[in-house]
Amino acid sequence: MSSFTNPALSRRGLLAAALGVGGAIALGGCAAREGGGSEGGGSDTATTATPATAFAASGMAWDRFKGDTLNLLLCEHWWTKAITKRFSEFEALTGMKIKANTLSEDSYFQQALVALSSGSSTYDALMVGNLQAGQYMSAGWLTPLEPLMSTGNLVNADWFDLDDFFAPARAASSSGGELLALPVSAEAGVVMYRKDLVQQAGITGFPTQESLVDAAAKLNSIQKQPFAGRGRRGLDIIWVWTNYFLTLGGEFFDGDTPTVNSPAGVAATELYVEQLLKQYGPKGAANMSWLEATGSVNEGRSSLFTDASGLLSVVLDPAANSKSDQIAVVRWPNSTAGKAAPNYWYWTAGIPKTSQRKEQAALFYAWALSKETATAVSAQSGSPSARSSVWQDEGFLSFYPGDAAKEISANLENVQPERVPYARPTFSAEADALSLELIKVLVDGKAPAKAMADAAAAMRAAR
Amino acid sequence: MPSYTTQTAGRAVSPAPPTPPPVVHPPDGHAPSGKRFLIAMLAPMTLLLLMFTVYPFVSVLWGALHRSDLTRPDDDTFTGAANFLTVLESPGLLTAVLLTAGLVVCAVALEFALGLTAASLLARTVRGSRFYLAMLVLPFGATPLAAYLAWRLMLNPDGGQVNTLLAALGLPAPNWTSEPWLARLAILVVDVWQWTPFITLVMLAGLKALPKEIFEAASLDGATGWQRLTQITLPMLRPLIAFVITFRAIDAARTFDSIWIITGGGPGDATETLTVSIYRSAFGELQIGQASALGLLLMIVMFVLGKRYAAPALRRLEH
Repeated sequence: MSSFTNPALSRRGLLAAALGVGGAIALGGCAAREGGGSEGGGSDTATTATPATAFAASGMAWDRFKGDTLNLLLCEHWWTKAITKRFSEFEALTGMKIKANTLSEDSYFQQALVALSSGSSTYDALMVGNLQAGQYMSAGWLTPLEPLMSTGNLVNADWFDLDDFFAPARAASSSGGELLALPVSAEAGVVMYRKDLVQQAGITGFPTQESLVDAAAKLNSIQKQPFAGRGRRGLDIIWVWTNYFLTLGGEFFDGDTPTVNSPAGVAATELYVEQLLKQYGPKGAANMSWLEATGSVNEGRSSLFTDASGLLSVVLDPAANSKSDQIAVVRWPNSTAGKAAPNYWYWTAGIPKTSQRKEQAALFYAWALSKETATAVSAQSGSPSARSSVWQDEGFLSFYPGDAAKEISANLENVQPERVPYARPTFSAEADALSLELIKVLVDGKAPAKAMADAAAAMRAAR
Repeated sequence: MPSYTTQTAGRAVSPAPPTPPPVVHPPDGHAPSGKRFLIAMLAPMTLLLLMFTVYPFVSVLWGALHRSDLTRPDDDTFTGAANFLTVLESPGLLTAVLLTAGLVVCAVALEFALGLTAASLLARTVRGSRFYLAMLVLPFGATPLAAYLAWRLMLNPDGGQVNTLLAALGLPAPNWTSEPWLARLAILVVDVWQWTPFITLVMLAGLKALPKEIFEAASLDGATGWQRLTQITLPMLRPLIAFVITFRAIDAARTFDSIWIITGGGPGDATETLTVSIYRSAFGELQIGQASALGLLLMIVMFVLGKRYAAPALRRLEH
């Protein structure tokens, strides 16, 4: 019946299919690299082992769980990539084995939610995103960490030095006064730009966020649609918009009432969505995540980009961006209404309450997030550590060109985490409702004032 | 009934009656109990069905009838039909239903038309038909997630390969994935790319199984190609067509991963089908109860469709 039974055809068919499939997969791979670049600019360089003496100095019994296996759930991230390369150091130090399940962001959040909500004890430690931290903490799914990391006799508290983590990052990792996660990386909104084109356009700086519109207009005369920004539904558009909103003095809620329809909310929407993204943004901005936005910068189609400092490791990657030496960064500018208040994103890491190996997981964090490992990982990959001591390290600072490290560090100090309600369990749904209205401004030309009024109503309904 | 006689040296010889297989007694000397044997044979499949079909179904039903709000995980109050009512009153439901129905109708119609045409061409012994057949199954071989990500980047209006090619040909570069109707079209194109080969293969198998004699007789009687297609081929393939269309329709209604990766349901909610709504409700808003209720409603619709169209088609195919 079917010609598939013909052996000659099967061989040729299989060969053709194999070549084709290989091509299709390679195409996918190329496309991914093209858009996203290799995560963590310098992460492909050789890994230098952290001296074991550094850990011996802690006086901790690192090998107390020798022979145990630790199951980790990790999300693809430049930190993950860098720390994974060092797992053998941990295994040599402790005699434990690591089994890590590393997933892409969407799959990761899904898997983490299923594991935590079902009370599964599959994972002993897992990464926690900023937006999910509030959900996980309020649900009581994470283990309080202070008894393990500072007040118990497992970890040398003086050596681990919890206070070295940025205070806002610790606050974002806590709930009800309890530390429920440990900050891994710290990112905040910055302005990234192409030095050569900015100079050519006669732009001398970005004194206010409103001045970005003038800068985009000038750049537009030498490069069409020069502004790169995220416009995709959900956290993508919300994350960037929040930088403008907070800097204009906006607040998400007054008590429990959404206040995004305030003058600051309307002004932020006019500025970011209507003027920058719609007028000077790339084609297809309404479906752009960081993947497409960094792709636009790396391929030289955009020269002005406002986004998270963590994305610097993507646009500074010489393998992905032939003009990476022309990329510069400045802290988030003030607005005409007030002082800069960039949005932030902390990746944190926690231990599920259902884990059967909490102490082993704590020992893993004591190693992975120690000053020694954090400094080595950051210096090698550019991963923006949440430890303040790392930001004093010359090796790490030299990863960034020019004054970039100084600008990023100063920018992190301007973060006001209490103003972004990530910890609100319902914020994910509320942010999604808000993002839909922002996209209506971008795609349908809805008036910002009307959109923000509708967004506030939609946020109330989304709870 | 066919005769089981064989011709040997010019005379009919009836074969010897088949020897019954020897009865193997268990070591204890007792004959196996028919009931126990039946249970032992059915147990593995029953267990698998319980684990992978019954338990998930009961779990979803339980979730739909309780609050099941993971932002308040300790509150599992029985809420009866409340989740169903919330879902049915949701302002986005009608849009999601229409988008899902639109995708199903357009995708299945296009895939069937293209698949049948390709199968008709491939059924003829023409030079290179084997090569074309091998090329046709390529979308099956590609890793779905990698393929969808490749599509997303190819369709990116800002520097994607599709627009680069169109620009090189002097054609306008559309705003794929960020204009509502173009985003819907993009999802449709990817679905057609992925699933037309499936319909082609099934229809090709059906075409090759048709008896040649009828077509030869029709040709001798002067039937045209169109008459042979409409009066012989399609009527004879009707059970197969009904089955393949119903199967694809049910599958198209469940499309999720391509939409999620390529447009994320956007721009805005322009491509938010029922499955995307379910995912967003469960994993974005943590409303497991509402997601379960919507999932159950979708399942009921699929069940009714399957019972109405796929089951009779399957029965006809078996005959």
